[in-house]
Amino acid sequence: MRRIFRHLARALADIRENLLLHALAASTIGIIFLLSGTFSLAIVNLSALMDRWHGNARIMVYLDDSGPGRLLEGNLVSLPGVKSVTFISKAEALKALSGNLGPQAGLLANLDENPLPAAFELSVDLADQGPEAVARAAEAAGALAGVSDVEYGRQWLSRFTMFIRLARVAALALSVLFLVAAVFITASTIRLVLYNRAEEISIMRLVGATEGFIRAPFYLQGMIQGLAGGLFALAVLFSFFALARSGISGGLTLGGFTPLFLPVWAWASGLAAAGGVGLGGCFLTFIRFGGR
Amino acid sequence: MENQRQDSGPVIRMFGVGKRYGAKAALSEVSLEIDAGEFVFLTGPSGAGKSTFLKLLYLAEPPSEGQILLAGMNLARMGRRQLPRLRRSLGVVFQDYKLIATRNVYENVALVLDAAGADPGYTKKKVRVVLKKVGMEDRMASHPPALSGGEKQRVAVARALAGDPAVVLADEPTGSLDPVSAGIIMDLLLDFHRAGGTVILATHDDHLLAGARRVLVLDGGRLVYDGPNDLPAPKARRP
Repeated sequence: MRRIFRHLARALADIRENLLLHALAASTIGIIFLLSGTFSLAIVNLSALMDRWHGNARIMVYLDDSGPGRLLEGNLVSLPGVKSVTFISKAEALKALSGNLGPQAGLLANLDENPLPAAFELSVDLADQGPEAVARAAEAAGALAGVSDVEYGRQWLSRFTMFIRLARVAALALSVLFLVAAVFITASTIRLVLYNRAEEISIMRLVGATEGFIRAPFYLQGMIQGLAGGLFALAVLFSFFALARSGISGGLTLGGFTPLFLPVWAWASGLAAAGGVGLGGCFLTFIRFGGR
Repeated sequence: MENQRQDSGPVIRMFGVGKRYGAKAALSEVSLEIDAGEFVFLTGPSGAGKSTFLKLLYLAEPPSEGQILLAGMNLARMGRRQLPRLRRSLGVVFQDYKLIATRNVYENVALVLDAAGADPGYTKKKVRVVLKKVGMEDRMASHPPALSGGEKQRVAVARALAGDPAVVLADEPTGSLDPVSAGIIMDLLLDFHRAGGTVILATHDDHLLAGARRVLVLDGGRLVYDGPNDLPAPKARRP
């Protein structure tokens, strides 16, 4: 433990000696993690928004005039995920349409008969089951005898779901690229410090210092640099998020949706990755330039 | 052999040792034995191979041919992991001091003990003792650029002695020093020798060889003489 503290003291002294270099590298790593974190935050919130829409999904089930009509209510309410069922008769449908048309409602007065079908409006609670569950419930309703059509915004939902999936994959790929870039940035910084201390390192080797003894402070420097970058990114991301949230609560609305910050496991993993990036950069430096 | 001194018997054995740099032979067919507790002078003109001889012993470079045994350990078969341990068992005094400019006197000397994983309390005590021995106790906080050549070499000797080595290798330790400073360095090495340590000192200064019990003379990379120096001491210099 004492030895770790000694290496840590050495690492901190080295950071002080090359403060500008380390600060620049940590800031660059911070910006990289900030970009990655922004993508993650956007995806977290889009996913939450989508789950919310799924949670409040409505399915319109239109009935044949010749079918059992309102008698289907029992079948519909027993479908998985269906919270409630509201029957809309032909007359109620026409009245609603008339109300929606406003001044043009007079057009409907010339109709010989009501062309609108009776319908059921299903309120579905499928937040935990994903968009496929909405489609399954709609399909099950459509298979019932006496149902002429089912409508639930299928195309829009599936496009949005696809978009979220693509965004997740893109964010993951970008994050991996960013991580690799951050590793190389750390490696370059540590390499410069190594060059600065080349003579000192050769003396240490000559007097019998092990490679572990020589390298440990550099690994700690890399890790501190990565963690500093990660913390910087987290602080900036949270500040922007807090600003955005206060803007929303102060007037902007997202249909009652409250934006979410990254979950604890996500930002803790990000910080660990930032520290790992520092260690990885250092490891890379010693592999390429660390020979005796 | 770390921190252990042998009472008798050869501590260094060389069999047909040679070192080439390209086509040039810096050292050729050197075979000898050095017993524990000996004080051996290594001399010869510039370029004779004195520094190369020492570098082979602390494995700064591997020999091109031959075998070197240090306390029975064959250096040719030594793995990378054993190298630091070997170097810690030797105290090396370099002509150009090789002190770390960014670390103060105390830290330069403590480096050897820190690298060996010594207890910090022991390190503190030991560094004070060796710095007192070389007369640098009051300059512990100074950095090498602020020291004179003689002071730097005294710190280098302190660093070499701090790990209680069995053997001290000194490469022209007095080469760039005034006579008084050179005398102090020689006294320190003689003290170490009197305490049972083995010293191999490379020098081209004939004044230091007076009365030496064993002198190795290298010329053109070959060992041309191995025996006592019976010449009287030159008047101008000590010891």
